[in-house]
Amino acid sequence: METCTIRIDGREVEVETGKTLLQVFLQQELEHPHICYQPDLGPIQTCDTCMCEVDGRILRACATQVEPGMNIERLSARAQAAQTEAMNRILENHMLYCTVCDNNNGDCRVHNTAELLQIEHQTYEYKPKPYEVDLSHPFYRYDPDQCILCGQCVEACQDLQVNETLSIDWERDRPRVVWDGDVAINESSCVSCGHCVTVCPCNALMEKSMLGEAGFMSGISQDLLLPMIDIVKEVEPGYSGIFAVSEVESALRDTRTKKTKTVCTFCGVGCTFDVWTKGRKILKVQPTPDAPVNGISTCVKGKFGWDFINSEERLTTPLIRKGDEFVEATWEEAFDLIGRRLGEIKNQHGADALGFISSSKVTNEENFLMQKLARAVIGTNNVDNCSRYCQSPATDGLMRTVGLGGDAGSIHDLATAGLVIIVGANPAEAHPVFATRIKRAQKLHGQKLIVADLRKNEMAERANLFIRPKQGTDAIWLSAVAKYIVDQGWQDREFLAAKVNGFEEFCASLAPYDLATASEITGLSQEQMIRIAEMIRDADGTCIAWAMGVTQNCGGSETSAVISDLLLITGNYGRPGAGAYPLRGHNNVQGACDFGTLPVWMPGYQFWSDEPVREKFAKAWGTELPSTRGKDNIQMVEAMHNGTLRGMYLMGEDMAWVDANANHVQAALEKLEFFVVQDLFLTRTAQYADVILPACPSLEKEGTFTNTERRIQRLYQVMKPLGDSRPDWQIIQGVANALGANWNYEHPSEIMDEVASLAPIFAGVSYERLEGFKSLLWPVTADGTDTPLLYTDGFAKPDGKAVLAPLNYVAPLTATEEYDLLLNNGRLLEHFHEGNLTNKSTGIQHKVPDTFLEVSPELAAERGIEDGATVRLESAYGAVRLRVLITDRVRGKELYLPMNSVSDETAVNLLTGAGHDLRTNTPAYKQTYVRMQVLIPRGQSPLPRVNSRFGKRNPQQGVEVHRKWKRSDYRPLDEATQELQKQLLNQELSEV
Amino acid sequence: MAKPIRIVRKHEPTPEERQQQSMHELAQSLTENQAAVQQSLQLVRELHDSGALELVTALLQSREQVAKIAVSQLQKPAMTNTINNVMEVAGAIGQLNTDATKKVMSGVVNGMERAADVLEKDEKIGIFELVKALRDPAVNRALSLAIGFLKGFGEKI
Repeated sequence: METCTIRIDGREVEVETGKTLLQVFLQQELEHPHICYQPDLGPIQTCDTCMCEVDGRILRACATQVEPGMNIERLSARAQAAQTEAMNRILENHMLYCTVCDNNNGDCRVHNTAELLQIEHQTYEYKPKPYEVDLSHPFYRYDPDQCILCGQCVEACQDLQVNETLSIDWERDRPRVVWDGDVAINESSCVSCGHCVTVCPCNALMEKSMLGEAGFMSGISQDLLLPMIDIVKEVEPGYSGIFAVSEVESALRDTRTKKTKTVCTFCGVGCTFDVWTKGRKILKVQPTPDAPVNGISTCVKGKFGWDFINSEERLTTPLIRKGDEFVEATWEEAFDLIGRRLGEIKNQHGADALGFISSSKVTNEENFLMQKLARAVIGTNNVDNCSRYCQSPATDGLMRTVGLGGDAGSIHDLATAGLVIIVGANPAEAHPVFATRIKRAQKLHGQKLIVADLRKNEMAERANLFIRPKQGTDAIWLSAVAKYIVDQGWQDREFLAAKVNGFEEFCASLAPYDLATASEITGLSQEQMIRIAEMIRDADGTCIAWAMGVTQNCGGSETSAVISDLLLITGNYGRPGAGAYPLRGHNNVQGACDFGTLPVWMPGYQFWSDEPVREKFAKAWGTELPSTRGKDNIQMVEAMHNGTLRGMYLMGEDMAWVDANANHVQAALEKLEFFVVQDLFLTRTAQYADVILPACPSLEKEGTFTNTERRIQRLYQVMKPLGDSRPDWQIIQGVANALGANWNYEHPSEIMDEVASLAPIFAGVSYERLEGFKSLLWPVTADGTDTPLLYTDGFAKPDGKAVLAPLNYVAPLTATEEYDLLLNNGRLLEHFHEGNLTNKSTGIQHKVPDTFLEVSPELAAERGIEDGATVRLESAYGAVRLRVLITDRVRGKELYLPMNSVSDETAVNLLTGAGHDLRTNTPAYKQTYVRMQVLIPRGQSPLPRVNSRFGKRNPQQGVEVHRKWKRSDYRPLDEATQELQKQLLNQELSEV
Repeated sequence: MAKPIRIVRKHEPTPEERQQQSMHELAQSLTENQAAVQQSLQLVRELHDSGALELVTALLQSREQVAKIAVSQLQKPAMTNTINNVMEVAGAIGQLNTDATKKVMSGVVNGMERAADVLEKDEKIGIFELVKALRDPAVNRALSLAIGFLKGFGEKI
């Protein structure tokens, strides 16, 4: 870190070079005015309040870099005059009524800056704007009258979220923020990510859930409020008096508004943020630059999707099946029954007659207890989680080649790579915040993007190269690219020689797949594959991110291994900005696997049958470990059908809808003799239960989640459990003790301590080290050193070298005459998976009320259907009936059915069920073929007009402040902008 | 062997049960805060006996109406004017030098006492006494002060 010396206000200070003055001021904890600076956005220079005098010139502190020997006066007469003038211009656009304003929570930048500058009276009278308040959107509102035109919202939307919806129309007489080409917010391309509301420094953009709720007086009706505000203005007190009153009111709010850090419960990105609550009411989700993964970023679910917490449908007491209905019971009754019945089945039929399904949504500690219950208390290895349906093939491919089943680096590597290749994944909708970093890197920093997918999703539209191979043939083009690279001599010889085994065997396996053959099989052109090879060769670091498009296939693990192989031969491991990124879907599916709810892996990826491992756990738990290999989810379903699995304890998983072949699975669940389901809601799966246990969501308990980066983060309890529901770890403990286990954990930290003592990769993990926004990426050594970047010191293999897996191509299932259409399936942005959580949100339901079938224009024309047509789809496993949306996101005979449905009519898994991944048993969801029968050829579109997919984006280069400076009514406060203004106006004149 | 079912037989607490539960929680609160509760009762008793309780209750019941009346009164120009004037005067007082004020005020007090004496004695003065008065150092000082005040006053208005 290079430093230099400068003078600030007459004092000599040593500072880092390469920083801006404002960054230095903030670091030194000097109070300096600024409104439009946001660390995650960089300086945008729209507010002008940060002016200071530097070596005699007036400059913006936010945009001026430190230089040795600089003499900075922040409080000189000239500096203060400029700052005050800038503040006054802002107050011309913003009425100060802080005491009754919902944003008066101590963090309002307009309030704080006006106070800091000791503004007593404003020099320009406030002028309302000639626009209506926009209340159209379900989650937030824009009040143009309060908007100071700082443009942070625009900058965030254009260059951070990169949805490119917002802009400021600088050329109008009275500029304002517009959505798309100036439409109502609810009719725009806005994806409700929340960035704009989060960064707004005042109350111009506010979450609707805050309005009238945040302050003690902010809920007063308008006919009382406006006269009150008028009085205050007539009386013309100095602002210092008013600020004092609003400070008091703000302090009062602190006694009532609770701000608690949590980790998002939805996807595998692992966003963290503060949740503001008033009792059980969620006021808002407020992300902060301190969050290690997401900073101020969120998506619609994390920012706005929490209605389910207080939903009336939440289970609040245990339920026991009696005849044809569920009857409310006490916890004692429930535990007694469970203990008795599970014990009976174990005694009569053996421990392996019982199965345990864990949840990817519950905490690490809860997952650990679930597998401990199965192994130490019952005595079976029949425990699994939903990674089976999802990234198990990726874990397999990575463990084979590089030794650890997790992302090679973190989000920062994705953001700084020279090239990102996305295969069979849709991060713009499934991992939105990850996608923002990739989009931003591409837009601002020249990152290149290749997307390989059947569907033209958002990242495909933005890609530098978008390829659409035939379904299930990714292993071929990846191998052909690898072969081409080796044939051209572009492989990283040093890296291979020093760190990788198996090169010859690998190359031999590639021999049949020259470009022509690959082109034949995949449907790609040779040029495309050559281009990919060239882009990898030219990039400074390549990250390959993949998801279900790769894994949910018969060759999923083999393809994942080939991806790893390609990265290995090009030296793209163990260095920043490179590596393998299988994107984990759930908030804690990584943790579920890490903490051992897998049939053959103990916590910390210790193999179940390794003698030393067995001894260690046996000693710690005081009991022998089971000696039969455990069954995975799919094998358990088969065992239910043939009667060998008679009892099951399932937690947080809607198996009836998310497993492939729903009919088959539901029939299996019916056959269970005893079935315990633990969940927040009475899901379809719970309908088969004998006992239903009400559990708590993330906001009602303590624990940790591990995201796709291997990052462990703490969640804190925001509110008490609802009704008689309990945190999952307490429930599991209750069940264990009903079976005589005698557990007495009092807090999840004790569970984590136990894990740290048993699993070397978690040796240094403790709650102290995870306090606040701190996090640890495993492996973590005993002294607390974590591993943000894997393999810098060699691979996780016995000799420290990676192993190239030879290509073993598993050809995909194909269409038949009977089932001629490919049914692609997966997630969508607004809902999480089958929607049990998000379908409780009125706002989200408003945007996506139902699922729908995407049909290509070509196929629609062929079959004579239009938007809103009702069709019946049938596969060998079942049928659904639903409405059609015609879109060119899909092409030819490829359909797409999002999985957000818990209905017998439309759930996609009624159709899936063919095939499994060779090595891990993951169902081949993506190789589903159906036939389509038209029932009604047209109708109402299943996706309402208010959905963002119908909006038209408006890309800009951020807030484009130069257009503000060009305005004739803008008088620059500093020489540099004055110069620039002259240039811009001359330019315009010369263009005329 | 369990068919999927969805009906939940909820136990809706009867009004009696609900009341019982409420009473139980209330009793618990009261006993936990016995001393504070008893003191509050004493306070309420006093308010009740003095009639203040009834008055305050009525005010709160009609709070929105009262607030509107108060606000509309405050909005009248005479009212905002008064507030403004009071604030100006208060502001001005804040600017006075405390020591000077002290001196002036002690002078006023003394002067008043002397005046009271004179009133009692009911003295008469003629031209001669007037001229003598001008030479009196105390009177002279008072007059200089008065002229100084007039000058300063004239400068600002």
